[in-house]
Amino acid sequence: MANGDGGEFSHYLLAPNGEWRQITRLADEISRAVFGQDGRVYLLSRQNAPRGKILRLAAENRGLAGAQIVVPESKAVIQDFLPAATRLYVEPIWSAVPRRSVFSTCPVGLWAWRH
Amino acid sequence: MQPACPQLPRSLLQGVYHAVKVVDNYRWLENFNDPAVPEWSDAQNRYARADLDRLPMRAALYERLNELRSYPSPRYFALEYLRNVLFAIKRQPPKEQPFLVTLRSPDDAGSEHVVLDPNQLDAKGTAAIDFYVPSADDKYVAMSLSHGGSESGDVHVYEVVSGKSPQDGRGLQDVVPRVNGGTAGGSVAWNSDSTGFYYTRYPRGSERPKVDLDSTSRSTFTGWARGPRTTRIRWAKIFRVSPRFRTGLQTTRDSRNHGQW
Repeated sequence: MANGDGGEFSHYLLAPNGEWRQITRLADEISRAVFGQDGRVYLLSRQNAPRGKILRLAAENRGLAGAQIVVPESKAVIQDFLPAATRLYVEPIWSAVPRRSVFSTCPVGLWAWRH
Repeated sequence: MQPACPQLPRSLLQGVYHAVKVVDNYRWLENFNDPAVPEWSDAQNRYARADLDRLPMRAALYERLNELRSYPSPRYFALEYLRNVLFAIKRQPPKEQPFLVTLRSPDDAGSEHVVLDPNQLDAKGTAAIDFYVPSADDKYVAMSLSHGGSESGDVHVYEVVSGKSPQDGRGLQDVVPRVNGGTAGGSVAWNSDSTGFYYTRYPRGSERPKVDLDSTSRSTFTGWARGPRTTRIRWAKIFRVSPRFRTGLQTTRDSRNHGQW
């Protein structure tokens, strides 16, 4: 849920049993959340990472505590991302020149940039 | 004959922003009620026109650019792969508006099937698809349709295979008004058995002060069935919303979990 246009968001999950729960708060600095095809939630976080890092959270989780870092902060500013079937497509900006990068969502090679 | 270059008078209008004085020489141009402003604009146009019209290659360029702009080469975007169906929005000049198609595969253009062509809903070409969301079983698609470039969209449900529309009297008559907004957007998330969907709901009628009508939305659920007057609405999650809040919705591929972002 967006708090106006200031870039603050909070995120909620509705479980199959009808239970709503809040997984992020405005102060968590999560600017984007997307379901992956694996049913998990991928989040773009700027908390202690002004250039952005990508987290992954199982849908059963209650809050960010169990989130896994999929793409840590680097020199590239993360603009956007898209979880596909076996890859995570990330749109970073390096030196103000956007180009796309691809990460594996599998445990092996998780953090390796592929250009 | 080339007219003289119109001179632009400078004013000494001054503003104070956070205690800093700023002189803006051309701010007077913001007042289009001042006859001097359209006069200057018209003079600029005459000046530019005279220059451009005498370029020897202009007519050929104009013709070629128009040809390229209206070239009937299609473009597909907003792709969504669900099980064995690829959904896509297709733009095909000279049609005014993009339309929703399905394909068996991106390599099989011959399998293209038009689900809804909004150009056929409105002869003027001003009906447009804001977004579409297929149901989990691929049988239905919820589509936000708006008119006249407003992007203020109402959601209609169509059968993917038959393209049955809410207007044709064969069912699927549920229309959910004011789901999409021009600035804050909108979204739909189907439930797992394709019997209903959550949607973003903008205030209607006099529910909110007029100034807030397009600036806030909250999520709502509608169940729908294959006939008229079957829409039931209940609040899925009622937040204590202030006018500045707005929401977006998404569902997992199996539509079991829903996210309100």
